[in-house]
Amino acid sequence: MTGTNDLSIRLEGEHTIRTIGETATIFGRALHKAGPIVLDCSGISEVDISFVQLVIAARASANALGRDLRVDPPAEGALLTCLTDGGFLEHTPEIPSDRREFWLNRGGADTDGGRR
Amino acid sequence: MNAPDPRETFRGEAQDLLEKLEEALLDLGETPDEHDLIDTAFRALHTLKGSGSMFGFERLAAFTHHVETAFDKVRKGEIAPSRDLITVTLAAQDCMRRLIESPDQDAGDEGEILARLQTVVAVAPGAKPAAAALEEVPAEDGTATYRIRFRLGPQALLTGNDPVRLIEELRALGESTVVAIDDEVPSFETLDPTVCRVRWDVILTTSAPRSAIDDVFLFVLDDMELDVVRVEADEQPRRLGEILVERGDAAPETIAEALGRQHPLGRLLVESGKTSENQVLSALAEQNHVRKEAEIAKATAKGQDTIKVTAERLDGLMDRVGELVIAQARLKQLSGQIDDIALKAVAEEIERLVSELRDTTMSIRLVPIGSLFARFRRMVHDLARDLGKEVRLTTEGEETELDKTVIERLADPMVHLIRNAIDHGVEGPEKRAQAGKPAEGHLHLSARHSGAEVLISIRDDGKGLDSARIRARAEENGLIAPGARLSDADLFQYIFAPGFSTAAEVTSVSGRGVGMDVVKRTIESLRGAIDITSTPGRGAEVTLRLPLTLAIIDGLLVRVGRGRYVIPLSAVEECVELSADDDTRSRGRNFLNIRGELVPFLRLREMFNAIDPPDPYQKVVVVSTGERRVGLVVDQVIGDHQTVIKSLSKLHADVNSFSGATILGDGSVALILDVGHLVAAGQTFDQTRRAS
Amino acid sequence: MPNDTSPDTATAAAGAQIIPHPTKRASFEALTFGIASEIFALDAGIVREILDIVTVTEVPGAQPFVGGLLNVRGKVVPLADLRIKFGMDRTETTVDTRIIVVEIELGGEAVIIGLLADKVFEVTEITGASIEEAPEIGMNWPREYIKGIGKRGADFIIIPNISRIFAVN
Repeated sequence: MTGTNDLSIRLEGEHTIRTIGETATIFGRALHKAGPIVLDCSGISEVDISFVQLVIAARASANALGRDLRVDPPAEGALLTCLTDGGFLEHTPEIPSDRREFWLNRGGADTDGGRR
Repeated sequence: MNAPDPRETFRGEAQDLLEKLEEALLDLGETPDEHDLIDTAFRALHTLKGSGSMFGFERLAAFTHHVETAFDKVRKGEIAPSRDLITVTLAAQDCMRRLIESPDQDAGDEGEILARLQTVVAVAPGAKPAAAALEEVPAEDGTATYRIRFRLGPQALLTGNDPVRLIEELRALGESTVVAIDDEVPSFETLDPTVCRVRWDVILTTSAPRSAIDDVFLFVLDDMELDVVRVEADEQPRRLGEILVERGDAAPETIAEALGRQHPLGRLLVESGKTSENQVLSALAEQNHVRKEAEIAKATAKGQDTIKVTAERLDGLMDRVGELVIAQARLKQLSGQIDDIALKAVAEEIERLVSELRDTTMSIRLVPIGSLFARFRRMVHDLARDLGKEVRLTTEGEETELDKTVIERLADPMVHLIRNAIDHGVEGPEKRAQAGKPAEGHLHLSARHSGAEVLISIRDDGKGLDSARIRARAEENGLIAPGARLSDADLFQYIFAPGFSTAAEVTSVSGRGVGMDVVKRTIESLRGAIDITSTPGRGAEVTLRLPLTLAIIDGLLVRVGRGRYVIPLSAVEECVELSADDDTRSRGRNFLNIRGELVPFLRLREMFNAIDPPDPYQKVVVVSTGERRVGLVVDQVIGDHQTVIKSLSKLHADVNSFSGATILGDGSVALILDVGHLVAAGQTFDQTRRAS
Repeated sequence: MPNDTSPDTATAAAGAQIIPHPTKRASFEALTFGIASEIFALDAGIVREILDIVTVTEVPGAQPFVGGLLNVRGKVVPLADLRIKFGMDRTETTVDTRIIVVEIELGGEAVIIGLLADKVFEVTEITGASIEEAPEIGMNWPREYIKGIGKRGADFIIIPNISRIFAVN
């Protein structure tokens, strides 16, 4: 499940409440190492809010340690759907949402999260 | 950071739910009218099913599903929470407990409990109507905007609740803007990944009642925070600061302070750290949402393109148009008598306008048949279950439009025909298997336009009609002579004869010979006809042919003696003269030779007892009734006549040679011939005459 | 003939009750009319209007009692001839012949019917005290069609049982 080097996490398959224990273990291990963390979510087939929340928490912890955690490639597929539907990508001209830039890896796929 | 075994967590949660369920059931035994208790029990069952399935307790989920279904009926007020129902649900609850403790072992009595449950539900008395439905009505313009803020409780994710799915359900209610607030998600080290710490702000503009929002959260209400506030969609959008203060996301002083500086408020608030970026974002999203909704509302108000009209007014309009058609006929008659070109031109102009107005008015009365089809879905399901059969219903042509009165009156005949198809047509699963057919029978309802008619068909893939048995029965009843030569189509018509049933064994559903004659009468009263085709072993198809509208028909006006009559133009094939030769020769045999074809004819003068001397040259109007062509001998063919049909009163219910009456241009009443009945009556008339 | 073609008089008299029960000795506003040499009385409340004779369309095959149809303000209305129910002879149409248009309830539905009358007299009060039950003997007419016999001066007034006369079997 882990990627080719220690700093990259490649996730595949299901990452939902059923498996969140295992997913948390993966993140926990990565946070114990040094350097920026690159999250590759392109292989995820099923995802729910518990995963999104886990990433948010992991990012907060990484930032607190002065480390960078980014999503690359930008969120797509099941994850993108979950983020869009869950209202994580909503933005307005006044507030260029920071988390929107995080998930979409700034300059990545410019999907309008706000459904009308 | 901890990751508990979800199955164990579920077990703990399930124990709580079972206790809650038991408590609710016992209380319900004391106070069966307590709606909250029913809801509590239902929610507990639903959650047990949902999370059971999620954490691999499949047996439990399958079993609980049935109990939940029963309680759903209670919740909807379809059945009352009887003592028996509570007893059996308590037994089911014990069973569930065993299924949670040892999920892979048979609880032993699952089947028995479910059977008992089914019986109890089947015989349960209907519930009392709810005391007073506290349904909040939506806004005057039909929509309302709500600010919905929610946060799930610590157990929610583990019990199978998915907040994103809840949001999806909210989105389905109308226009929504969703902002997730994840400010409270802790750092990874302190996070319990099974507890949802994200909360949501949803702005929803919906025409659904307020209760629809609560329904979305029905199964998590026990374990969540939910705050729903109606937001006024003013044209003048409220300021960001106002929204934030109203929400309690920012103190008024903070806003005042920020406003004192010359930068965009949102940015300043975020920078000040007193209000989170997400909170500001959410408030801005609400501002945008409300503004857009107000714009939409304004646009809709301008371009109003549908209005609701009561059926009564529509009927009134149709009546006026009918009277106009009559007055127009009168004008046409007068302009024909007065030789004035200008008058004629106006009369023709009015004729055209009236005709267009008539068509427009009739089109207003047309409604799609889909609503009628939808009513049969449940019926087919219940009927198949009661009869121990499997039937799949498919429908086609739901969009086909018919006069609303026709649709209303079609409901009963269709019920009879569908019952008949399922009861007598579709075989039981074993018989079907023997016949090499899939166990599940297929019933297909379809509707389509064909010229000025609408064809509605009910087709099954059952055993088809038994023509030998129908023939035997018809002979037995003296409806046909033994050995009479009849096409299948003609023979099948006898199933509509009063008291005619070939069912070897009378079932409670059909087979008592009641209904099929009513079906035929109803369809005929709608000026329709019924065709039946059948292939032994493969199924039968009953097709109802109905006119598009009831109110107005095109007719041929004829004179018989002093009386004037209207023959529906749809039945008329041609008009010929009755030659003097045919006239005299035919005293013995009433046949006419039309291009080599022998066409029997009826003298309407005789049938209607006309006493005035006949016109020297009698005319024959050839009409078709189904497959037969019959000539109607009249004194004079006056011409085409657009006819507003007025039904005859009950006092003339025994007169079936006429389907109704109409008012002619001169104000007098003319009868409209019911060709089918008239021809049938003519045959009897001829027989009696020959006999005497 | 004050009531000739003046439906308003009749309608104004309409009470809440459509069909009164004169056998219970209740007084009622009645429209009196003549058929042959007899005087009949109808509850004025059921009378819609009184028409001069118009073209009547025969309905072949209908019972002679309701053998015709007529046009009443765009509605097709059956015309009933009470004489047939009472076994009286047909009389010729005269200048006095009228059609009394009534609205009665038939099997739960309001039905408009025209009644043929040789002459229409007036709307008058028939007091309950003056009404007697139809005698069992000394009457040529079917007793079930008569609700009672009222008296006005020296005249006997027949109060027909309209709902029974028109009851559809």
